[in-house]
Amino acid sequence: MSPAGTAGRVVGPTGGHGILQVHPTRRCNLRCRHCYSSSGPDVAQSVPVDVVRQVVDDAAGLGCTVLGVSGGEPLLYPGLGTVLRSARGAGMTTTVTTNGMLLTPRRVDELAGQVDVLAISLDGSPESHAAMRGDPRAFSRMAGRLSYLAASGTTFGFVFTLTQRNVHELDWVVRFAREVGAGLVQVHPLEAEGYAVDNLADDVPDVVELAFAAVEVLRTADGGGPYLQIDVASRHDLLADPARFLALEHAPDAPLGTWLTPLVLEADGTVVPLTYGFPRPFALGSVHDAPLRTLAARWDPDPLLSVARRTHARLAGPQGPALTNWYTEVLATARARRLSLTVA
Amino acid sequence: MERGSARLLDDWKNGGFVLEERLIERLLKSTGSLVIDSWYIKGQPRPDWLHTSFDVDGVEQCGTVVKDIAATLGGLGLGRAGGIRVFPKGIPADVFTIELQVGAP
Ligand code: SF4
Repeated sequence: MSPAGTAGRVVGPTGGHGILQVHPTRRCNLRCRHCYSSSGPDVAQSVPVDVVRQVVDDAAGLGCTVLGVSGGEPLLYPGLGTVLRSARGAGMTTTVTTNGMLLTPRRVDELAGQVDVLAISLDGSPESHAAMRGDPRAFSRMAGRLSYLAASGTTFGFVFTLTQRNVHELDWVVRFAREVGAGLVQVHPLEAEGYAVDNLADDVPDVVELAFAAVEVLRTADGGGPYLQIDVASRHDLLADPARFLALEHAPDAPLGTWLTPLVLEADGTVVPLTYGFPRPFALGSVHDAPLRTLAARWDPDPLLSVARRTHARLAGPQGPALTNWYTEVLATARARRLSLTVA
Repeated sequence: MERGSARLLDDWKNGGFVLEERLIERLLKSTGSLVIDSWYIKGQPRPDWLHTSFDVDGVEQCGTVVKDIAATLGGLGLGRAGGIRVFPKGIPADVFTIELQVGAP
């Protein structure tokens, strides 16, 4: 997840923050219908803690200033504390995204001082949340953990996955967040990845739902918080600042982590640009083969920049949508390009 | 399956408000820069129903206007901004018609 924006902001890609997004494990106590990383209780894939620590150090050296840990369920990763300490030691801001069910007082105490923002997934009303999470206790267990968390002083917020069917529940989420003292509600459009491909293929929100979500974010924001943020880009953003969307002829003459963001470490050890599941031909490589700093030095940015330029031209053109999930779009262009390369 | 926005519009519509003259004044002020398609105010001597609609360009202006109206309603102690309906026009949704209704018709 991204750090908190201004109240009621519609934000695009993370320009300004160099983010390292780490998925250290795909093990999870849940198996959600929309899980983009296809995680679950029987999925064992994970990256050894020493390797993740090295990735964090290298990313800091490349200019990344934020570490985001998600999963799988990060609280099931035994090296979580070690990784967070490394990042803090390297001067990075840290965020952890969790389903919140395992946030016992002991875990909350362990995380205190190591996590700048704890992001908890919340998919709407208790019934909707439980249905999406495939576990009737998913909401009550998570909600039962919040009073201790709030009292601990650790900043926490909610990540709401926007679908084609649930924008009307955002108001409930914001009110719940206010009630329990959360500092952030982040609205993230559903991506057709992982389990969502089979379970929710028709539920990726279209431009109309994105627009209503943007209006709803602005409507429900008030000065007293929580901060509200929606991860969509407007055509206005795309036209105003093409470089932020990597619509560049050449890679910037700057450390990789400052302009290629997020860098994503997946649980199989592959580092990909921008978003989980990015096609392997565009990957930096595997940290099981070489350290991140070496992968970064060897990486050829041109294929990705070509994909970003095409995506930008399509979205910013006269027929482009008013609002868009840029990451989904750039991923779609990359997949189409990979396909055409394969066919050729 | 129904869109989330269809449910949201119903929620807004069913929000329920009490109409006061000072509310009308403030709303006229907050929408003063917009081209208003229609205004209907019913009820004499005290108005008890207001309906208006106007178009705005782009989601950003739409959001700003809805936020202003919501703040006006909130500032008057009228609770949340039910009664505001937003209709995106066209795909892509570049123009939004905002309908505001306060009080029972
Ligand atoms: S979405 Fe999160 S909580 Fe759900 S299965 Fe995936 S990793 Fe676990």
